[in-house]
Amino acid sequence: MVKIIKKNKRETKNDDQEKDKNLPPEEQVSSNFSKNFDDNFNKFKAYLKDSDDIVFRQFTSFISNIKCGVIFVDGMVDKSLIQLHIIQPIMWGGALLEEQKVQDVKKEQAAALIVERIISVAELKEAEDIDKAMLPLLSGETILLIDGYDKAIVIGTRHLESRGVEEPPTEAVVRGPRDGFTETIRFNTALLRRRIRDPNFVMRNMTLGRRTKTNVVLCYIKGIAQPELVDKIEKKIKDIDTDDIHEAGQIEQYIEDNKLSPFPQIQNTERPDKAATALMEGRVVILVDGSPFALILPANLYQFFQSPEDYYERWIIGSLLRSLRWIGSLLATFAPALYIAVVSYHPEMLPTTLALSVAADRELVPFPAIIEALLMEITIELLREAGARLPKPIGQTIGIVGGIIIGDAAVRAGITSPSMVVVVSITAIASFIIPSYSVAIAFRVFRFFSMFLAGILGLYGVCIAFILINIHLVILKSFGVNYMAPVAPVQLRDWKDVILRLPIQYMKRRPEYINPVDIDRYEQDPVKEM
Amino acid sequence: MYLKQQKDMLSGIQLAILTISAIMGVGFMSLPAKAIEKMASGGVILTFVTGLITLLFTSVIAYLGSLFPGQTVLDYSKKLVGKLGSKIINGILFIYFIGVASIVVRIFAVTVNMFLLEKTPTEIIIGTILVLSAYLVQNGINPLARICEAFLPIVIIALGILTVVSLTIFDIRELYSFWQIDILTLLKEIPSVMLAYLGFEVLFFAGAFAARPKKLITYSAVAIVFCITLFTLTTAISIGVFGIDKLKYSPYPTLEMARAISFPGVFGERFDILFAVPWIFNIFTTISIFYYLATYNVTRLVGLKNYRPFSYLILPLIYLLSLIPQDIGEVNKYSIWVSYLGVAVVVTVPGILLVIALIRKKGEKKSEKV
Repeated sequence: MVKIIKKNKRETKNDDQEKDKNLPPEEQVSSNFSKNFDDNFNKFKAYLKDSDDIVFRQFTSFISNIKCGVIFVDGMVDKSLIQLHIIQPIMWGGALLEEQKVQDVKKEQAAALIVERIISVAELKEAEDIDKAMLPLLSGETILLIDGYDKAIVIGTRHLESRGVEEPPTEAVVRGPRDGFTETIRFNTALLRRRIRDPNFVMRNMTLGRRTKTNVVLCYIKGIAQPELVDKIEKKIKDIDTDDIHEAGQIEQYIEDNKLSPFPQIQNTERPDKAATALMEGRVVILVDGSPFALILPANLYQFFQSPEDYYERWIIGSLLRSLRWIGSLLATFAPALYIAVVSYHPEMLPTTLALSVAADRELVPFPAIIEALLMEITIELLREAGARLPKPIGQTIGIVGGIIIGDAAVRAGITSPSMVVVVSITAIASFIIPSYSVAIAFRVFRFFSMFLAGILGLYGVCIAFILINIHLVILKSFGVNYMAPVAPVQLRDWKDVILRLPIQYMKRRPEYINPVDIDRYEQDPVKEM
Repeated sequence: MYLKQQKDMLSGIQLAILTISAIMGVGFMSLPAKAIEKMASGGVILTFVTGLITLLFTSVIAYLGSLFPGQTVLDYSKKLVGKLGSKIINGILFIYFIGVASIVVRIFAVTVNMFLLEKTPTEIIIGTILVLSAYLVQNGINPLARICEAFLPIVIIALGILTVVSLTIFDIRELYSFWQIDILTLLKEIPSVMLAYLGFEVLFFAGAFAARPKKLITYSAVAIVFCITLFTLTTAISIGVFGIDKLKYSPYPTLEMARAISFPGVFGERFDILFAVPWIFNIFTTISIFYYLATYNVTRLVGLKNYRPFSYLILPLIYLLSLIPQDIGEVNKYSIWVSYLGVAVVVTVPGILLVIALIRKKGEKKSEKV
C-alpha cells in the first residue's frame, strides 16, 4: 500500500525525485527490515520526514548500550504511556537491572528481553516489513525499533481525543436509553457488545479506502443472520474501490441496489439499542470509524416508521403512535396536492359553508392554487434548511420570523390565503413526525411531484402520483428483501409489527421477510449452538 | 427455464390476489345492471350461479396448471395440440388480451371524464395511465402481483365502507321475490353475466409462477369464492338501494351509490369523488394485468423471451385501439364483442386441452401397465 502512495507521489513530483528516477523501483525502497537499526529508522524517515506531527526519538538502552528508537504520531498516542512504560524502562531498566546482570547480553537477544521483561504495555505486535508497520503507526500505535532485530515492534498506545457518549440529537426518545454512537469505532463496538453478550455475535474488521484506511466493522449474529446475506454484503463492501471513505453515508451509496431511488435502502441510526434490536432480527450492522451513524441492512419501508420507543412503551401507546406516523407521512406527501386538487378542480367535495369561505379567501389571491402552494412550500423548505444549519438560538429566531411573521404577512399582503397557510403548516409539522430523516426527504420529493400532478390533473393526478410511488416501492429491493414486505408480498405473520405493534408476548418470532436462520426467539442457548 | 427463478415465485396468497384483481375490473362495476336486465331481482341468483360455473372453468385451468408445473398455457399446449395449435391459441389470446386492455383503458378514461375531470381530453388520461402501466409491466409479474396486494385492501375497505353506509337507504322489499326465476332465462343470461367474471384466465399464465403448483386449485378456488361472495352481495345491495327500475339505467351503480348516499353535515355534496380514488387503483391493476398478458403473448408469438422491449412497443397499439370507438355506445359494442371472444376462449381452450391431457394421461398409464 505504501508503495502505491510512493509511486503516485513520484508521478506528481517529478522535479523532486529526478535522481531516484533512474533506479528501478525495487532498489529504491526495499520494504523488508534489516538488522541494522539506522537502515530501518531511516526507512521510516524517508517516508515521513516532511510531516512534522510524526515524532522520531532515538535513545540507547541500558542493555549493552543498544540503539533503540520510537516513532509515533503526536496527538494520536498516550504520551505518558510511552514515557513511563516504553522509553523509561528501556533506558533505565528498573527492576530488571537489580535482579540480573544484563550489561553484557548479546545484541541478538536484547530484543527478546525487551519485549518479554521490560515493556509493560498490554497490546504488542510485530511487523515484518514497513508496509505492515505503516498503517498501525498512522493509526496511533507506537513503532519500536531495536538494533539487531529485523522486525518492528508495534505497541498499542492509541489514544484519540474524542467526544464522550452523548444523547443522539437526531433520534431523541422520551423513554429509552440515552446513549448514542460516537465518532470512535471502538466505543461503538463496545456499546453494541455491551448489549449483546453472545459469543455468536461477530464483529468482522475491514479496512476501506486506499488512502484513508478507514476501519469498517461488519456486525452480525451467527446463527440468526442469513449467511448468504452476510456474504453478499461483505462482497459488496470489499468491491468498493476508492481512496476516500470517512462517513457511513458514503458506504451506503456505494452498496445500495438502486441508485436512482429517492428512498433509502439502508437504514442509519445513532442509537445502539436500535442497532442491537436489528441484529437480533437477523439484520447486518455496519460501523464506520469516524461516523456516529451505524448502517442497518437490509431495510424495508416499514422499518423507517419504527421508533425504539414503540417497544419500550406499552403496546397500545406504541401502536397508536405508529398509526399516527403513517397518517403523518400521508399528510406530508399528499396534503398540499389534495388541497390544490380540491380547490381548483373539485370544490364541490367540500361542505358548502367551508367551500364558500375558502372561495371568499381565495378571491383576494391573484395566483392559481398550484402557484400559491408552491410559493408557500418553497418558503417553508427555505426556512427549514436555514434553521437546520444555524446555531440553535438563531435557528429559533428564524422559525419565529418565518413561521409566524411571514405567514401572517403573506396573508395580509394577499399573496396567499389563510387556508393555504393552514395546509402548509400541517404538512410541515406532519413531515417531522417520521422518525427517519432520510425517508422524510424522500416523501418531501414526492410532495412536490404530486403537487405538480394535482395542479395539472386534479384528484386523478394525485392518484397517478400515489400509484407511481407505490409501483416504485414495489419494485425496489434492498439486498434481496422486498421494500414493501410484509405488506406486498403479504406475510401475515409479520403484520404484528407493521402498522400496529402487538403486545411483546406475540413477538416470539423474528420477521420472516428478512429470512433469518433461526426464526424463534425462545429457548435459545447461544453457547451450545457454537 | 427462464421462468424458474426460484426466489421470485408467486405465493398462494399472491396468486389469489392477482386473480381477484384481474376479475374485479370494469365488468364488476356494471354487473348489477346487467344481472337484473331480464331477471329483475332474480339477478342475485343469476350472479351466484354464474359464479359457480366460473369456478368450474377456473378449476380446469388451475388443474391444467398443476399438471404442468412451471409452464404457461403456451408451453403445455405445444405438447397437447402441437406447435401450430399452440400458435393459434397464442394469437387468439393476444388479440383478446390487447382488446380487453384497450377497452378497459377507454372505459376508465370515459369514467374519469365523467366523474373527475370534465374538460381534460381523453387522450391525456389514456396516455398517463398507460405510461404508468408500462413502467410496472416491464418489471415482470412479481411487482404486478405485489402492487395488487398493496391496492386490493384499499379497494375492499372502500367497498366495505360503502356497503355499511348504504344500509341507511337499503330497502329490503326490493329483494323479496328473488327466488322467482325462470330457469330458461337464467341459462340464456349466463354468458352475459359471465363477462363480469372474466379475468380468471390470468391463471393460464400466473400458474407457471406458482411457488407450490399443487396448491394452485385451492388458491384459485379461494379467489373465485371471494369474487362470488362480493359480486352477489353487490348485486343484492344495488337492487336494495336503487330498486330494479332505476338500476336498469345506471351503468356504474357502485360509483353512483356513493353519489346517492349523503353524509349529514360532515362531508360535501360529492362524497362519491372520494370513492373514485380506490376505483382508479382497482382499474389500474386490471389494466396492468391485461397489458402484461398482452405483452407476454406477443413476445411468445414472435418467438422471443425478453418482454421488456415489447412492453413499450405495444403501448402505442393499445393507445390507438382504445381511441377507435367514437362514443360510449361504440365502446359498449366493442366491449361486448371482446367479452364474448373471452367467454369463447375460456370455455373452449381449457376444455379441449383438458380432454387431450386426460386421454394422454390414461394412455400413459396403460402403456406403463403393459
